[in-house]
Amino acid sequence: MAKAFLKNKVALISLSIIIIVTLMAVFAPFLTPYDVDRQDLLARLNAPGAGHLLGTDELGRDVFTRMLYGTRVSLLIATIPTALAVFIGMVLGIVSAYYGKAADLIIMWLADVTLAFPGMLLAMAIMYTFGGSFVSVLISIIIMEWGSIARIVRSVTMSIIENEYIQAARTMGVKKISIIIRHILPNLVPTLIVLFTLNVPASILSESALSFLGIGIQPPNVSLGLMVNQSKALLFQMPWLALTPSLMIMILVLSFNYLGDSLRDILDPKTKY
Amino acid sequence: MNDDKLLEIKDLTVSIKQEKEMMPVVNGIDITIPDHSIIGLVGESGCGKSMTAKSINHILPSFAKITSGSMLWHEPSGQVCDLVTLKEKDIRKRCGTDVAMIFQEPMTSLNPLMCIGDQIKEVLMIHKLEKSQDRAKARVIEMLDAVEIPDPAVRYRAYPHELSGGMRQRAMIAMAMIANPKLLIADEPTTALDVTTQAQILDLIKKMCETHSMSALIITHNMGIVSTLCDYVYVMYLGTIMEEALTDELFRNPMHPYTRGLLSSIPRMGDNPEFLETLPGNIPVNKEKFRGCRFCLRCSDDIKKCFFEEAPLHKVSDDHYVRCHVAAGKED
Amino acid sequence: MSGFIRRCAGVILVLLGVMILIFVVLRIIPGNPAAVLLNEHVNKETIERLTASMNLDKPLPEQFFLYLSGALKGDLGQSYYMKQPVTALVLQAFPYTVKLTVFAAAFAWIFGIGVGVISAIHHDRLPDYLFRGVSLLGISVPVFMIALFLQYLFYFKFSLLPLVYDGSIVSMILPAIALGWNSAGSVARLTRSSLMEQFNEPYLDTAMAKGLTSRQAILSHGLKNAMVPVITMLALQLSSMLSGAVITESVFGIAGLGKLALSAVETRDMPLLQGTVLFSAFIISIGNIISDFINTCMDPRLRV
Repeated sequence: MAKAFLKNKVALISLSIIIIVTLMAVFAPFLTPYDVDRQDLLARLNAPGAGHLLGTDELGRDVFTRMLYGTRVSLLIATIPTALAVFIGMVLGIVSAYYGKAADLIIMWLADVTLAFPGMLLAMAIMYTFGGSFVSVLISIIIMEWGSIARIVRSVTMSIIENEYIQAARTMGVKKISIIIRHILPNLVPTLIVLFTLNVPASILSESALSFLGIGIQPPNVSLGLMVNQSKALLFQMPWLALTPSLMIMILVLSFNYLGDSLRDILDPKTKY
Repeated sequence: MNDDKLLEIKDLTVSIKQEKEMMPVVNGIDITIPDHSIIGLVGESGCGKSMTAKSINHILPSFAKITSGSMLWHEPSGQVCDLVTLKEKDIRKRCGTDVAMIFQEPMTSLNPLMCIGDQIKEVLMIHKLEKSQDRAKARVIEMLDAVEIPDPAVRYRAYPHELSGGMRQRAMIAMAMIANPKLLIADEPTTALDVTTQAQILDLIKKMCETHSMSALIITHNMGIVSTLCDYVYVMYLGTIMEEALTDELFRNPMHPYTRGLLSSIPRMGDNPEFLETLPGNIPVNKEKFRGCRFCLRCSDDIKKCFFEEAPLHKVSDDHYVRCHVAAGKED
Repeated sequence: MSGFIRRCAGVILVLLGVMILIFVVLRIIPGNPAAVLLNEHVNKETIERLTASMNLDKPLPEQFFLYLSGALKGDLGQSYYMKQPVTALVLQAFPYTVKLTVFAAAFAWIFGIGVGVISAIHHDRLPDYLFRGVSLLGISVPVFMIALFLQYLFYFKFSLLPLVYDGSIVSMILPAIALGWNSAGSVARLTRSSLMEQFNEPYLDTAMAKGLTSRQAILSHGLKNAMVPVITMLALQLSSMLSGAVITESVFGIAGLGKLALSAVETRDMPLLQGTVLFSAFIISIGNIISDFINTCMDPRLRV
């Protein structure tokens, strides 16, 4: 499996891009001499050049620095809520498939209910209630994503349960919980990895969209989507202000999509989701 | 048996691509199909018989290719045309009208989203054999009646999943027959059906061949089908013809140990066998370049020569050929 | 037919859940929206009067029941900020969103299916690699980036198309492309994989044995079969388009549902937000039923 991964150039390239971007975001303070919030009103709206690699914004803040910090937010959003959504979806999906009956009905009904909303509009309702912040973005991403994950986990679990060795274990009286831990979970791992990788781009895009609308991450915090929002008024004069953070989002999303696709081909070639 | 040839397959080799190497699955076989006769091609699954069939009308899967050989089609006018060299456009003109085909699984071989009548009518429309839709429809209903589908006008609108396996295969036969082809290729036509339906479908194929004075190439692993249907039989093993003979001759005097194995695995009424006779061993998976007889690993009377040299096709009589050192030795 | 009835019952249950969820989400934090709405130094009576008029003084279950029975009659309450019935505001905005979504979907489907088919036919050759890259790019670009990029290119650089929506068809081109871009990518990817699955189906061999060329067989028999999962995705597409419409409408100044919802959040107009979200969930449920219906028409196996 590792060999197949190393052979897959696309997967390798996208993984390296993700690693490089992550390292840049983590070591941001060492990569730039500027402070993320420091305003330099004398150096407003500089074009990209020697002093400021990607220029400065309308308050004289260094765009490159802000982009690195914005990338931190994107990466946190990419990992934390996605992982939580996968975890919740996994637990509920297994419960739904394995215990069936009422639990199955209720869980699948809840999943259908959350999937019946356009994600962005449900997220807006959450923003309305909790206000724009990292935590409320996190909550809305979990609510948007858990349902489809639970559905897929449910159907994969059901096909795992069909296997004869699990039927055998059941007949011999092995406890449900140990069947889940010993037999079902290990078989679910590839699906979960793929689901995680494929939901990361969705999370990044949701955060950036909410922040772009001005209802997600709020200033003085930085986010790539927020940066585009703040610079869209200057789109025609200084297009790079909006372009660079957008490109950063695109590169991240594209890399995760490519990685997810390749992982799916390697780990789980038969399923498609 | 007729002497006028319809299709002559000469030295046909079909190879499949496996990890960048072309590996032959059909090794230079010769098959002659005369006019108005039913020819059987028998062998275990995986021996290359389906590949042979699919190469005739160029529907090989994308990983397989005809690598050498010719397939000479004799027109009634006396002209001869090599089907191997035809471009896609030209071979498609012959498909359905000269060469028709029916398949093993009538469920998956029919488009699930189209009613069977329209699927049959499509043959007439593609080849512009009928201009008016109504007339074409009438011809289809007539054909459905001819293949003994009850209520043909109603069944015209039926979808494949609404029919039983036997009815679906009848619809396939109707589709194959509608343009009066000269050759019908039937690839395991009854394997997916239950025994009583099998017999009806075989009768139908035989009847169709007679009434339409058509030839047929029946591909099967079932010696019983061969004996009821075919005039002449080719026995194929791992891509090579091992024995060929008139059906009666082959059943009376099987010479190749593989043919004998196939024949003795038919359970017979009256015997009360402790065990069903089977051929020992399995088809070897690793078909590396091996110079000896392909069957030697499973053969009961192996001699040293068999491991090093493939036997030539030995003529037993005008209607019987065998590819076996032992059998050829006994003859001499 | 019983399947259809069961399906409708399911949709009704889901819509009930949708109403409960949105009701709970918007009220989970205690506090009087009426007080937030009015300035703090307004006298107590005014606040109380408004509170009573919005049924906010009643217990939550009763509020839910009033809201449910209102919604069934088509009454989604009164907007705090715009002082108009929410239903009227939603129905005013809806045609704009429909127009935008229809144009975007047309772009996405024509483009997406076309690219998917070419990709599948030439699979693992140059056009396929190229188009696969394009469709992956399609699903990887944020909607606002496409929107701003189109504005920059076609309005500012080449002055070909209007900057914002002004009611004309021409001014709908950029918003439709911006919104359809993502969907075009996913439609293309699904069409490709679904069509390639058909390549191994024996009925294509039958079609070729009848005399169709491989390309004709794929386009006339394979494509129809390949479309079944693509149409199943229709409702999902609708959902993601309504999400994207919030951004597209805000960038291009289209007074549709998305913009209405956004302004409801900005002006803290709870009934308006509740009504808009509920209405869009309702639209998606209808989309679900429609895609089921189309699939049943196409695939006789689903007709039981």
